[in-house]
Amino acid sequence: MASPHLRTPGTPSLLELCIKAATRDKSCVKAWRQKRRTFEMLPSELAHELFNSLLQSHLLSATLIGLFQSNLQEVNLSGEATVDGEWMAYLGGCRHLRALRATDCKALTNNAIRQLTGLTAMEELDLARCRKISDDAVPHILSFKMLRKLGLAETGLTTKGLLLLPGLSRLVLLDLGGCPVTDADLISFQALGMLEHLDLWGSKVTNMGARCLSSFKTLKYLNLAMTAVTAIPQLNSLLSLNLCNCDVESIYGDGTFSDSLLRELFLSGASLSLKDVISGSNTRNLHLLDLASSRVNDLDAFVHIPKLAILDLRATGLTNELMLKFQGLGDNLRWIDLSYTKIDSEGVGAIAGHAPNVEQLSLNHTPVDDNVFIYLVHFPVLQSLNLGGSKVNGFMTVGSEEFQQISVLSYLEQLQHLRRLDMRYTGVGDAALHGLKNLVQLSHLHIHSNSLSDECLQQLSSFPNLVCLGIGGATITADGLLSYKPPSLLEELDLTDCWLLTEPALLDFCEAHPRIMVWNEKTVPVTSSSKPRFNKKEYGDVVNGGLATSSTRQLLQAKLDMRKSSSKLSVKGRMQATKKAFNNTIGVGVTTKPLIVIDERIKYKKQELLQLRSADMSNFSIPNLRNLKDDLLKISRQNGEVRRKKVLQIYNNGSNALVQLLSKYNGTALFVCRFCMGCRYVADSILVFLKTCSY
Amino acid sequence: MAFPRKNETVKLVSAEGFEFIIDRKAAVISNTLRNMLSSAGNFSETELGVVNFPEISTPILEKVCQYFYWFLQCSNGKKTDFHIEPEMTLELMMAANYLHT
Repeated sequence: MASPHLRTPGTPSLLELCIKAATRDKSCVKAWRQKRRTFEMLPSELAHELFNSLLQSHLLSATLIGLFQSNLQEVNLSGEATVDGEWMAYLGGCRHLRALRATDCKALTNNAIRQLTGLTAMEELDLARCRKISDDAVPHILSFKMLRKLGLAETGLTTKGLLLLPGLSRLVLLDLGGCPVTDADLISFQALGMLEHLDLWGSKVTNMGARCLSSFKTLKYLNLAMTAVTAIPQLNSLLSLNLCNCDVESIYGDGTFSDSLLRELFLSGASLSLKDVISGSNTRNLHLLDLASSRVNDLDAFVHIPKLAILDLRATGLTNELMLKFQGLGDNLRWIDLSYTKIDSEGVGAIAGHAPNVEQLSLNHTPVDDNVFIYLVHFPVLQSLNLGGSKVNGFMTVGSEEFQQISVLSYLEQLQHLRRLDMRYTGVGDAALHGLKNLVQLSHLHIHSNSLSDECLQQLSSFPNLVCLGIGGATITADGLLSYKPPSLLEELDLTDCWLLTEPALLDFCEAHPRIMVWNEKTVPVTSSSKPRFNKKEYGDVVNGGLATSSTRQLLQAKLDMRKSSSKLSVKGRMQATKKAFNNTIGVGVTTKPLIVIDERIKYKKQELLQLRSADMSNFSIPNLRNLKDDLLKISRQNGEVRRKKVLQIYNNGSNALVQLLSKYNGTALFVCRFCMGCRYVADSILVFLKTCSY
Repeated sequence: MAFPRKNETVKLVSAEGFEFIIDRKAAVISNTLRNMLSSAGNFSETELGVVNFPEISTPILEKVCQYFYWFLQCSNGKKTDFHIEPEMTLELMMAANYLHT
């Protein structure tokens, strides 16, 4: 029985087809926009779907918003340069409007906000990074009596406007990141009795203002990153505290307090003495501790964090001796990031057996060598292991007289749960891979090594569960590739920098295995759904049309992602889809019109940032960084559209972490800082880049 | 009907009373229709194999039926484009939403 649940992934639903047909071009819009009566009957969720689709295809105009007046409830116009007072005037007529997100709308002025007054249903308003918004907009914002969430980060607000904000008594979330909030302003916010989320990064708040924080009885999330605050008073309700890049002296005072609910503590880039900051009373419930790039010199205090599950020590000056202190860590630890530290195999040995529930371990760019495998078996539930850029090469020399090498990768066989293994830019070659042969459960494997050849493909065809395989830089020949029998689940094959491969060979491979997305400079990612579009002739045409191969790749990728994102139907789902698609999509005006434009509207939530980091850093490598420095400098000299495209190209070259960062640079400066501190190699170039940007 | 046996076809009736007789396997592509036609006797539609759509006009219902067959074609590996006249997108959207297709 054919059921929509079992439908082939390529078949769109009727609803998707309708929305696509309705937003194909201007004449299509003209055909249905006359039907006002029908429009009024449109259920709100469909109206939102249509609205967002129009926005994406650049068909939305101010007057068209007028049509949606009876059914719009949530609007996201972030990043749309065309949004101005006229748009707001029409939005002002949407009497059910509940949430408006208009971040990065450069043309929005105080007057435009005035058009919205009278929208009594408004609960959420985010105008972050609208540079023309200043104090004069605040009186208009005060007219939204139901407002619960307000975002004014990096706007032109000063004390004059900030002092009016306590008039919004229902505020639960207030984001004033990057605004010059002073101690006096913060003290006036005490009137906001329901405040749960307060974002004041980069403000002028000092210890004096911070002292009054204890009277915020409902505060759950507090961000004071990049401020002069050094001491945080007791905050009974606080769940998450961010003090990145601050000189932290104390949190919650002297430890007389025992009911701390604090679950997350972000201290990356901060200078602190853990002994003084972590007293036990404030960390009883701590779940996440981020110390990336901070100066850690003692780990004794870790015994006071019994529930610690996520620990980030990336790019800290951690040494082997300090690792011994780790032994006090409990069974709760699941995620440890030690990348870019000086920890070697012995250091890993020091915690082996003491953290039995670790699921993710990052040791990339540390000096660990092949001895590490002996210790790794003491992490029995390890799911993800990153050894990229380390000194591992897969063999250990035993015996002093008879020179004998034994393969050590086979130690990993004991890790039953290992799914992801990253050994990029290590010395692992063909022979060593033999040791992996029993790791049948692997789903993601990245090797990227110059010492791989055709032989590795034979060995790698025996992993039945492999979904993603990266063997970039390998000296694989066309014959080798064509005789490769990929496992049935394989979706992605990364062959970047495999310089021996020719274009016809890659194309033949793509045709033989349409399901697999192949990455290489000479080809484009191809899957079965895009097959009709992809054949040699057409491919040639596009290239002859003056396009770099990377653009073609982007084009197809964009098409694929467009399909993906349109398959999600609920408004929320769509947002998530765009977010997902954002990682890959790009706007390339290839044929006649731009297909899809990168979605800059999504401001990452803190949780997502964390996920992003854990996900992306694994792809990060020094060689990429070196190129990036040059690229970044070049990009910073170019203007908006070109710059955006360039940034995306870098993404496609494999450094997605940085690009996600760059696309967000205007969004979360905090992230930038944390990131910069994390990889000092590019810190300078990013800062140069940021300075030259108009933001 | 003497034998309330499940037929291989179902009848869809538009607002204007036009009847579309389509294969059951095509109709069940719609979640709503599948529930109506397969639930244990809660709907009269289950037994009679007739579904009335007092809010869906004839051209829209026709398009919906076309979509069902296009979908079947697609799942059999035959890929073609499904054309929708822009004039009817709004109504069709609402019908698709109602039918969960």
